[in-house]
Amino acid sequence: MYKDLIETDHHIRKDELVVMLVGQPNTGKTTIFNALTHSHFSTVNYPGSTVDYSVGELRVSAGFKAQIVDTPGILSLTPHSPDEEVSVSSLFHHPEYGVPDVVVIMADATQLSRQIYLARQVRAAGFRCVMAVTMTDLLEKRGMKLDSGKLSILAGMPAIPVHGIRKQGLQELAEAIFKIYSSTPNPVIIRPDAGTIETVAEQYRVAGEIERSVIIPSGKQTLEEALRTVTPHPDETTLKLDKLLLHPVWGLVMFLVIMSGFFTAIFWLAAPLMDVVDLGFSALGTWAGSTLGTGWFSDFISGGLITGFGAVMVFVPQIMILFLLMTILEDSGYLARAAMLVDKPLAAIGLNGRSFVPLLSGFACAIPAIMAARTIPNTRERMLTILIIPLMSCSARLPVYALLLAFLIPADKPWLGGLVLTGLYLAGLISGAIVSALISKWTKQNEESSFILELPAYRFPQISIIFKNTLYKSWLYLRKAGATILVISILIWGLTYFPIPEHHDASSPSGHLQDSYAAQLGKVLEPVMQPMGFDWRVGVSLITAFAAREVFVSSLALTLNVTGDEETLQGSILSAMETSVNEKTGLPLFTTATILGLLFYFIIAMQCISTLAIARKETNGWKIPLLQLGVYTLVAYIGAVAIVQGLRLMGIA
Amino acid sequence: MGTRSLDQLIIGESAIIHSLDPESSSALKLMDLGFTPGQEVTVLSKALLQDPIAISLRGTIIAIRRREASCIRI
Repeated sequence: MYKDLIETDHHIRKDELVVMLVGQPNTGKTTIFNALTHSHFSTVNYPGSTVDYSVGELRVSAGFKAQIVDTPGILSLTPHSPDEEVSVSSLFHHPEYGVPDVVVIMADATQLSRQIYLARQVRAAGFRCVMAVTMTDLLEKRGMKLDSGKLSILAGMPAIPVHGIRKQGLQELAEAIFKIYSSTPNPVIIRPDAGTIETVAEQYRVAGEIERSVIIPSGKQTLEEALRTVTPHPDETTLKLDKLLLHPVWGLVMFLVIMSGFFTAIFWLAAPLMDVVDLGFSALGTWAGSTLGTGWFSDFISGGLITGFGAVMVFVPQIMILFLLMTILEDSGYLARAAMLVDKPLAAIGLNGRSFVPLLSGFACAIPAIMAARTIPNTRERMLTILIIPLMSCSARLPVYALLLAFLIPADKPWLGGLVLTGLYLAGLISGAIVSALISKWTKQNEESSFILELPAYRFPQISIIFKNTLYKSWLYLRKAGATILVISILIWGLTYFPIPEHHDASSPSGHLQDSYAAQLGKVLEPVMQPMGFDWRVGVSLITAFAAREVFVSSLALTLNVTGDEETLQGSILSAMETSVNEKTGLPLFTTATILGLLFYFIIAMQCISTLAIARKETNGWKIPLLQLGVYTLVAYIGAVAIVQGLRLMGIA
Repeated sequence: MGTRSLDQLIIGESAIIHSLDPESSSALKLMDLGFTPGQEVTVLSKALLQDPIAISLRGTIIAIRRREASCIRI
């Protein structure tokens, strides 16, 4: 039937509609998007975190084709931060899809007045609208019902109750989309001006009236009871949980417990998985070496490819667990509370409660973290947040920390390793706080600072979405990091392997490293490295770490000419580190002093080209990335030299 | 009516919004979120040092700073 319409109706010129999902954060928009498109995108429970668009083809068959566009949550058509401005302006003119043919407005039935407020704004701008009403099951749990027929009339658009997880109402929604598209002429769309206090109050008054007349209380209630229950309130579980989690004292205690649990879990859960990966790659390298025989190709596969890649793959379990826990915290609704709890202390150093999520993401990877800073409305607070994100201990530092700590700390004292690692994370956090406090003292705040954040209802994280999201993020990380690391690994292997001298003795592969290109390059850098107690080999590894910090580990494996003697790769690198001697001074290369200096260097130094690129893009200038590169790397170097030389003066080698 | 501001409520206390200080830069954003005259609000919790404040209204919870709450007359 609809097919016939496409051919006969004069309004229809396209064979594929563009349908945008618009709504306030936490209205279940992404869940409906997933249900409509059968796609694999994530839904998160932190206001404004859907920074990017998701697009998918409509998979609910209703006789027409459509592209469904999921847009970031907006409160109204008046933007209050850069990410909201992007969301609102792309509704009026999407960079890729232009003006949508139909807008689906998501509305949470338990807080209808706020949703109707947005829906009426979108309707008034001229769009063809359909309202998808979610959470009607929650409304019924509270003994109330929604009169969707009356809502359709009063809101001036079809209102369809939907349930994304149970896949209810999707067919009706799709049919309503097509019906409104084919029965109305192409609209004239006008973007409204920001309202005034008077117009907003009036719009809300109407929205509130509509809400009161479409929500039907259960039959047993008296009129007075009904009026009271109809005043929407947050759900009871959320209120009870917040009594504890937002308590002035206990809330803070719980915050510290949750955060330490978060970081402890990352390390303890990951350890056994990391061993499995490590053993696997070690075995693979040995097997490849013995199968392929001798020669440069065999060395390339076992020494270049497998060793280099394995050294990084070892840390994938840890990164996945970090993403997993982060998603759980986000989806449960806790992250927004945490942002509220830390707003006051963060404001004291020139940041904002909204800096919390970007900073916490920075412990996984600075790139998505810097992008997440878009949700901070105040320009200076956003710039400061971006500036200090690279000081948060990202997961690329973990491989380096893990290796250096394994060298420094006896294997029978894992608790000490955990403690020092916590110290390293705190050191990053504290240096970030110092940088932010210093700069906010020196520069003037031009805009007024504000913190207004919706705290979504707590919910049990949806397992399938959590796993999809974790796998998706880990895959993105691996794809981005993996390609870089592979190229760098091959490059470093080549630089350390060639040129092969004429009188080369095949039985001693380390024989020609001294004459390799890497050695020649490293020796130029050697004067800079000697104050840190290192020779050219660590110097080359540090240079390659500019591609990505974790490359340091695989570079070190190559420059120290690690052979797979030990059972695990890390074991092999460690035993090579123990026997390495500084080629200039004859002193051991890795000592307590030099390791501590190196750790300090890694805490502070700006060593990631991708981060610099994204910082330039997001701040729209070179100032922030150049500050990060110049100041952090210089401070890191000076500090490392001071630590090594200071400890030596005190008699600690 | 209108003599006190929202930040003066204690935890658990409810009030009806009288007006918003039109001079405040946050007034429009607060109204966009539903802090409109005539609306009932309840203070649910306050962070350390009484700042920010979590407020229940229109079926949701919104955290705002004390300074923002002080421009809402009740």
